[in-house]
Formats: sequence, structure tokens, C-alpha cells
Amino acid sequence: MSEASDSAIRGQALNAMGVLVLSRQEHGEFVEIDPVPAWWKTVFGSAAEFRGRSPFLEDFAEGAAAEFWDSADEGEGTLPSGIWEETTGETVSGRYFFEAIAGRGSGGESFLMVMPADDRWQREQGFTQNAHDQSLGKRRLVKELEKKQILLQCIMHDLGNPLSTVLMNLQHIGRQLDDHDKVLRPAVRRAVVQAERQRELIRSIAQVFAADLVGASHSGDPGAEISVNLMSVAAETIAACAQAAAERGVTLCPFFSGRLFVVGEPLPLSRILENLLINAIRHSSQGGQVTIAFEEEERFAICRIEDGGPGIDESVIDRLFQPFSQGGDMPGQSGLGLYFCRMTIEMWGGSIVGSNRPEGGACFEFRLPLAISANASGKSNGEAETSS
Amino acid sequence: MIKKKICLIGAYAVGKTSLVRRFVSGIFSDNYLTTVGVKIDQRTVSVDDREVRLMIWDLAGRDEFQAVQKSYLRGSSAFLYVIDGTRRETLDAVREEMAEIAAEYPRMTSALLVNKHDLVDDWEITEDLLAPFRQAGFLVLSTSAKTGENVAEAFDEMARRMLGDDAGAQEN
Ligand SMILES: Nc1nc2c(ncn2[C@@H]2O[C@H](COP(=O)(O)OP(=O)(O)OP(=O)(O)O)[C@@H](O)[C@H]2O)c(=O)[nH]1
Ligand SMILES: [Mg+2]
Repeated sequence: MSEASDSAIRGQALNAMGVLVLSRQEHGEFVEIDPVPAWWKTVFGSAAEFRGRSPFLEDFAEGAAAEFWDSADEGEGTLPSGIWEETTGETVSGRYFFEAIAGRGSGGESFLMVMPADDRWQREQGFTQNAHDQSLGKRRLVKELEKKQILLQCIMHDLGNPLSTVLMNLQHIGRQLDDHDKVLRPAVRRAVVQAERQRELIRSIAQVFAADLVGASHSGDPGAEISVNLMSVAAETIAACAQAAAERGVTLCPFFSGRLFVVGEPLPLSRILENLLINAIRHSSQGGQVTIAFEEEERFAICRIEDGGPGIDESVIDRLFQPFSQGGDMPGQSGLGLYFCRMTIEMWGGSIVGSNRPEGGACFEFRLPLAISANASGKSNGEAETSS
Repeated sequence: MIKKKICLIGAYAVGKTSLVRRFVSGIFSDNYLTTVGVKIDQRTVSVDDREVRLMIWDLAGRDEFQAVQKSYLRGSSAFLYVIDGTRRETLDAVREEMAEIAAEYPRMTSALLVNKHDLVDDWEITEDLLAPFRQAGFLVLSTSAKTGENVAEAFDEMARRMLGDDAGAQEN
């Protein structure tokens, strides 16, 4: 094959790939080798103009590539520039990506190839973007969890530690009191019981958070169902709230039925009931009544707590169970009580709603799934714990 | 006119491209499009009565897979190291990069930009972490590509310092 047809084939091949070839002359100037692709003129002008138009190509041709061409070690080889971006300012407002390769032939000739790299850019950009988005996303998640961890520490530390001190002092006072002190001893005992409940509650909140932190969407493992007798927990809690009700001249009217085993745990369940009862008592007026009723409906147990107070303010009814949404101007409330109720009940697969009764007053109703196994066998670890 | 090459160096997503866009075009976007390859932007600034054309090289950010391609740094008159104030690890990354680069380019005019100052409540970078850089002669600035805070100031001050050193100004 002749040299002429050889180079014609090479030219066609390069043309098909959209590659421009510049031949580097003795004094460092460049000459275009035919064929010249259309984009070369649009973006770079010509072999004489490209330096002014493309700072990157100029930098490469005068810098790294020049050093490569002029380096002492002879022989064939190539040096890639890496991808760069050009924007052709006035005419087309597009982004173009290019890549250049400095080459040295076997005969010592130097050449510079320039080619569009939009496809390569697209591929690499997609890949890199993905990797970066993923690492940033993961980082954000970790940071969010850290914040929760801090909140958890606050609960444990700022609520838990003072409580331990209170408990220790109460126990100390209890020991100092005369066995026959009929007024103070029962009072101290009640205080100790309440403080201990509080401490348990802090522990269970910590557990809810901790479960959240490890990302375990705790909906309960059906193989190891947790169950509790709603009736016995309710009876205990109502008894514990009797004092508070009496102080406000409010009567508690429970309508108990038989045993009712539901999915749940005794301590948080008791705390939920206490929250709802204390709320109802607080909103009742002197001589008022709070009723507590139970029902079974399909696979759920329902507990309904109703008062005869002013009812729930319509403006807060939608966000009643959101954190820090206080129903009105009740001082000394964290605004977390109903939020805690909802979170815990939902964790057990139940639900809770608040509404106003047509005859006046508020109604809070929660439902919990019946604990099938426990109801069938009539046995539960919750019962032993709650009735002790 | 005097031309000066200035390179932005730093981990991915710290805001290098955003800082250049803010400085050159006065715009900002919350969208993140990671840079692949190199883009050169230009803007002329004046220092006293002299005009300097800054040739600003926005380099792809360093990540787990790739370091900054060192060949791009040749011919520079200044390096702008950028970190993200909300991501402490970007400071560690830039420290490593600096150590490597300083071996080849000692005494280069350099600045450390702690970006995303508009998110200062989420910052993980504290002043005591920055003090060593000030002592080493870096210009250290809190910037925000979002609000524009200290962006022009950073480039202007770099231009001033580059003309001050003026060892390798290329007159064109
Ligand atoms: N709030 C805020 N966001 C910023 C600031 N600067 C950049 N960002 C955002 O941070 C993300 C990354 O910005 P880029 O400018 O693309 O970062 P880069 O350093 O060029 O990233 P690579 O090209 O991947 O190396 C984008 O979502 C920007 O909108 C800032 O000052 N404040
Ligand atoms: Mg970028």
C-alpha cells in the first residue's frame, strides 16, 4: 500500500472519530492536518488562534505537552490532558467538553490531537455525582442521628440525675421517720413510688430513642409478642391518680370489664393512661366526672377517656399529638406528653385520636391490637408485673 | 495586561465552583453538579492602578477515588484552598493535599477559605483549628458563595499579594 493511501485511511478514521490533529513544527507553532472538523473552527478558531480562545489548551500545549515533546527520552508515546470544559461565549450558549493528547511518533515528529469528550464527561460525571451524593447523604444521616443521641443524653442526664438525688433523699428521710408517723411516712412512700415510676419512664423513653437510633422500626417481632393486661394496668393507674382527682374534686368513673390482653408493655402503658387521666382531671371543673371505658372491636381493644371540661381548642386539635404543641395555656407541661402517647401506641401497632364530645368535654380514644396468644391462653408476663 | 493563574483546591462539594460562579457571574445555585475535569474562568481586577486578569482554575474536588491532578498546578501564582465549614473532614483532606503540594511549591501565595459561613450554626470548624494556618502565613477567610460574603475580598486580596510577590508575572 502506498504512503498516500495510508494517510488517507488514517485521515478518514480520525475524521470519523471527530479528532483534530495538529502537527507541531520546529519552532513550536502548529499546523492543522486535514481533515479539520467543524467544531474546531467554531470553538478554537484555528491553529494560530486557539491559544487566545482556550486558556486550557494553551496551558497544555505550552506547558506539560511542550515539556513532554522536548524531553530527552526519545521514542513513541502519548500524554493525555484530561477533560476540560469550554463555553463558546456569544454564539452558542452551550457547554462543550474536550480532551487533548500530546503524541510523539517513532520518527521524532510531535503532534497534538484534540477531540470532543462530551460522552466521556457524561459517563464520568454521572458516576462521580452518584458517589458524592451518596457520601453526602450518608453523612447527613449520621449527623442527624448524632443530634438525637445528644437529645437522648439530655434526657438521661438532665432529667435522670436530679431524680436520682431526689430518690436518695426521700429514702433517707423515710429511714429517719418514726415508724408510727401516720402522716409523713405514707406521704414519703407515695413520693418514692412516683419518683421511681418517673425514673422507669425515663428509661423507657431512652429505649424508644435507642430503638430509633439503630434504625430498628420496632413494630414487634410476631414470634415474641409482648402483651399486657390493659385492665389491670388501668386499675392501678386509676388508683394512683385518685389522689390528684380528689384534690380537684373530680370523680373518676371506670367501667371495667374482664381481662383484656393487648400488645404493649406495662410501664409505658401505665404512663400513657396517666397522661390522659391527668389531662382529663386538669381540664375538669370542681365536681366534674372523668369516665374511663373499655371495649373490644374486631382485633382491637379500645380505651376511651372522657371529661366534662371545656373541650379541646379547635386551633390545636390538628397538631395535638405533635411534639411541643400545648393545648392552651397550661404551665408546667412539657408538651411531650401526648407526643409520647402517640409514638408509643403507634410503636405497638395502635392509634390514638382526640375529639370534642357533642355534649361538651374532650374525648381521647386509643386502640391497641389484642394480644392473640395471651388472650387465648390467658397468660401473660405483663399481668404478673402489673398486679404485684 | 498581567495574567495570573490561580487554582482552587479542596475536597468535593466544599463550594469551589460556587465561589467562582459568585465571583465571575454573581450567581449562586443550591443544586450540586460535581465538577469533572477543569474549567477556567477569567475576571479582571484592579490592584491600585494596575489591572490583573485572574485565570481561575476550578479543579475537580478530591474524593476517595482521586487526588488533585498535580500537573494542573504548574504555572500558578496562587492557590486557594477551600474547605466546607460544616464538614470537619474537609479540613483534614486539605491538610494532606497541602503537605504534598508544598513539597513542590514552597512559599506559594495561599489562602484558606472556610466556606458556607451562612450555615455557621452547623459549623464544625472552630477558630483554634484555623490558627496554625494564620501562623503559617495563609490568608484565612470565612466565605459564603450563597451570600457573597468575603468572596470578592478573597480574590482581590490574592491579586494584591500575587503582585506583591511579583516574581513570575507574565506580561502579555
Ligand atoms: N449554604 C451554602 N451552600 C453552598 C455554599 N457554597 C456552595 N454551596 C453548596 O454546596 C454544594 C457544592 O457546591 P460546589 O460549588 O458544586 O462544590 P465544589 O467544591 O465545586 O464540588 P466538586 O466540583 O464536586 O469538587 C452545592 O449544593 C452548593 O449549592 C455556601 O456558601 N453556602
Ligand atoms: Mg466543582
